[in-house]
Amino acid sequence: MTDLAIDLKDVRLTLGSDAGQVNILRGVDLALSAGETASLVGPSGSGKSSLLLVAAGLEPATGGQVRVGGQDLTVLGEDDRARFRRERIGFVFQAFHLIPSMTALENIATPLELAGRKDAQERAERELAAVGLADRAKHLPSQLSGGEQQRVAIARAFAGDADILLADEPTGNLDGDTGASIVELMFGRASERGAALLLVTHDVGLAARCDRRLRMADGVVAAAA
Amino acid sequence: MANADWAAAWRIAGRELRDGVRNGFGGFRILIACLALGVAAIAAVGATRAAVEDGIARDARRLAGGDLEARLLYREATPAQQAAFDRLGEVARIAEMRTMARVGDQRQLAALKAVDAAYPHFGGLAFAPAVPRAELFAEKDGVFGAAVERAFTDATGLEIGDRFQLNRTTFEVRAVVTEEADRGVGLMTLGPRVMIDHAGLAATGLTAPGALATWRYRIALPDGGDADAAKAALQSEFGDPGWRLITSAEAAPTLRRMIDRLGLFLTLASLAALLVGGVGAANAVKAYMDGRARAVAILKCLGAPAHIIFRAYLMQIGVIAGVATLLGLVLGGLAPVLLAGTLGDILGVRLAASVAVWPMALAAAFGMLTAFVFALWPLAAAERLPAARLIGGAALGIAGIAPRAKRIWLLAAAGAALAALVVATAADKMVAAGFVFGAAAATLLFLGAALLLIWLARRAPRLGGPLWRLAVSGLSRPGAPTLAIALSLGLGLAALTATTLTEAAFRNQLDTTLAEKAPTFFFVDIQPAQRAPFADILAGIPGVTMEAATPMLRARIVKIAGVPVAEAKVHEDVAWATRNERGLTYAAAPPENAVLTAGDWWPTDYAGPPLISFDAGIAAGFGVGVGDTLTFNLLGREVTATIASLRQVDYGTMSMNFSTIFDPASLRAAPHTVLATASAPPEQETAVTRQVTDAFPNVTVVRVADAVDLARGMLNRIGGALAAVAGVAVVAGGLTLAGAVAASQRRRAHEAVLLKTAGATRGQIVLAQAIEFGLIGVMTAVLAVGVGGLGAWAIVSFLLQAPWTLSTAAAATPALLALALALGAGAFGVWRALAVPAGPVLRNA
Repeated sequence: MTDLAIDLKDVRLTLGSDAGQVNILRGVDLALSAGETASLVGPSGSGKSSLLLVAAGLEPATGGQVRVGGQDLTVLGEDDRARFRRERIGFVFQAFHLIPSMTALENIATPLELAGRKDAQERAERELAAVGLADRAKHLPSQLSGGEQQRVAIARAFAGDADILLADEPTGNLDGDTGASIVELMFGRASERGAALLLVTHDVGLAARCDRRLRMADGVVAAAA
Repeated sequence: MANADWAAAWRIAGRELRDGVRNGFGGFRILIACLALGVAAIAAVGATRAAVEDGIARDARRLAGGDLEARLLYREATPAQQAAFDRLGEVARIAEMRTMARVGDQRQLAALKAVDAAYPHFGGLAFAPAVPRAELFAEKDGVFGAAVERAFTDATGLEIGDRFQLNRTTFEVRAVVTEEADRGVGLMTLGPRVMIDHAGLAATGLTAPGALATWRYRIALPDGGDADAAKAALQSEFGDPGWRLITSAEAAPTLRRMIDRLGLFLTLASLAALLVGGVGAANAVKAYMDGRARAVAILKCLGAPAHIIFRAYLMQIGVIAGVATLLGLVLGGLAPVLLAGTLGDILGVRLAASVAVWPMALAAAFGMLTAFVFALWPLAAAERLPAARLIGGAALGIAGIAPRAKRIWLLAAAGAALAALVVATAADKMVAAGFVFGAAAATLLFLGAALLLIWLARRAPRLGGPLWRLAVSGLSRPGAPTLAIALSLGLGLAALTATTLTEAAFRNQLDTTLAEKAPTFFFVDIQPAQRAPFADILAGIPGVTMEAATPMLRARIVKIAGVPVAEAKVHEDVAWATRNERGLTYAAAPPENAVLTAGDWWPTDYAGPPLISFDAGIAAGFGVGVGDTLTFNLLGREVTATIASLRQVDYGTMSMNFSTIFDPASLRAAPHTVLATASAPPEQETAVTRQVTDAFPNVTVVRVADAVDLARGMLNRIGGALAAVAGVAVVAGGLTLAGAVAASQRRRAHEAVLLKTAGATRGQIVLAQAIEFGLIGVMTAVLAVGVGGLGAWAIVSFLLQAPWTLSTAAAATPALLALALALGAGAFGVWRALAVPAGPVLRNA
């Protein structure tokens, strides 16, 4: 079983809101092998992004089994999930989510430094160079274009030893050409690392690049797309 | 057109306000709380002061004990004078003096008061048990009756029916005095009250010639009698025979002066609180306008000119400030009601229960003007918000937008009006002007320091880990609360530091300087013939040293350079020297350590016209110098003396400090007593008191430690009142801090989620916040203690002219408070940020 990067069984997520309880995930089953790439498509509100958050340990599941990289996340506390995340998981968002007050290099170094890695700076510089932004090290996110910000986010995701990459609409805020180059970069880096990639997207072309295409509807993974 | 603009502005304001009310004043709560607190503090001080003053005016006859009082020192009125009093109305005769009561081996200083049956004219005297007056003081089997204050029974352990001695006569405690309206200010009265009648006093033999008794003749005029006319009649009949004539309208002068002085300081401390609240209000208005930036941009797109937008939001803030001011007035107006009991006991005045219109109106004016001054900048910035930002998709806000020059001039004018209102409505314009200057300087200093910190944070080398970087960058990013926290918390804590350090300087002076240098005892009322045997007694007690013995007379200054005091120009700071009889002495040689600042001391054998050596500070306040004359009324005799020299006199040392020293030849023959001081080891204090009073029952022994305790008690009360008002400033600062943290909460929550996504533990996120708020806290603490310390030094050294000492313990309290408040606010912020779930932030941002 350890060769499964992500192993979700009957995962449920119920969140409270002003209007009452909302069942977001209603029993998701999903298995992703190490090095495998999979896309997740489906209508807005079907629970795709929530599934990524649960897999990243950012949103604790209400029920079911969440095993990521061989670790059962449901038995870990919030801080232990954070430590697990910085060791094993990279996350790329549609809105980039770089820390606005930190330079590009600092954003990449942050998870390494949080983990207490002595070589944080060197690795961050290496990752920044790998995404082609070595000359933008000291720029703040507000001084970078959308595409550049997403490159930094990808570098940040791979700065550690992540073997699982979660990406939520990584090209959603980018124009066509920029989006395409980001996709190349992301798949290329994942492949180099042998990392599993779970990708949420509305882009049919992007979804098609993955080994597997999954469709989500009403909080469950309905079928292969 | 102008009217149409106003109407349009009002309609916009109304709709926006409706939204605010629907949201439970969400964005305005801090603004309302900050302003209401400041206004409440000012209203509370003003209303309480008015209630005390009204109480004094209403109870004037009761407090004065008569419509007119003739007061004579050391002597009774002549039969002719007494006949004149009797012609005016009913007369109550009172004698007051300090003496030592003996209870077995114990000696107790007592404030003795002998009264007759006519006393008091207007009530305000009560005893427990309510023994009939005829029985209260009457002699029974050679023992006279006495009514004593509770403090007397507490100190001596006596109970009703127990006996004590005054000089050669035995008295029995028959009742406890529970009310004595004419006693005056109870803040600093040496020795508890012992009340007897004149027969009892005569029996004691304490009224021998030269005894320091004050005789009061209180006249109750027939209904409708005019006290001023009666006073004038006495003056025209007798001239000035050395008495003081006081009408009931002039009653309680010490209390009035104290209320004036304390009222001024408390008002200024309240203004400091309002100023801090103003910073909170400014911050709240900025946060509100940031939130309304989209609405402003849309209004502009729809064709609303800038001035209509400015007016619309100004009206809204005006309405909110009005609500806050009203709330403050209600809270402040309750103060006299809540404090009536406590203040009534301390001051001996029944507080009036009326609503004081003027202090309320003034507090309201301060509140509204402060709100206007502090809201102006963010409102003026909002009117210049470019509508194009709506399209750019950038975050909308008013940060970095400079108002038009016209608005900046308006701000300057409003600030000047606020300063002018502070000075114009203060009794002491110089003190108020000093406050305005100090407050402005402190504001600029905090502003400058905060800007410097932000500048340094921007340029700081990006060293250290991500938590340190995050904290440092948190200080300088747009919308960072650094400025608001440093200003509001800093100003509030500077006010608290100034009051605590001022109080500490006095306390320190009492505790150390005085204790080290002051003698153990003062002996008052030693008759000249007793001087040698008195010295022998002290010399016979091991370890006791008589430090000084000097003749003492009491006299009142009646003319300054030939001009009657009432017509002379006397500076307010030294007016006290002319109000009552003051002790003076004569000496052939200058006192030890005397510092002559002008003129020369007379030769030891000088025998010419009267010369004096006078206090240089008082001389400056009188506008006189060497060669000018002062005329004294010495027990009814006027003596005009020429100033031969001026001296520096330090009244803070508790040793013998006479403002006036005559040449010996001029006064040697005048009736006088001797004032002596002695130091004694603690184990000999009882022996000294007992032996001296046994041998000389007329001599009053005052332990300096008791006097210091009394001063300490007074300091505690005044310091407590000032600290309470300064505390309001700190609370206002804390509210501003909470508001500032709340305003940046969205950003904090976002960062916390991003850090969590990057693998940060909660402990690491807390640490980042602790560093950021710790840095602000340390800077604020250092500045608040610096600025407050500077203020305290200025108050103590220049205003109160007392020696300055820095109490590090007192300074540490506000410093630690600054750090605790800043860290507490940070902890509150991070606690809320950590509670924010990651999902919504990551999906929507």
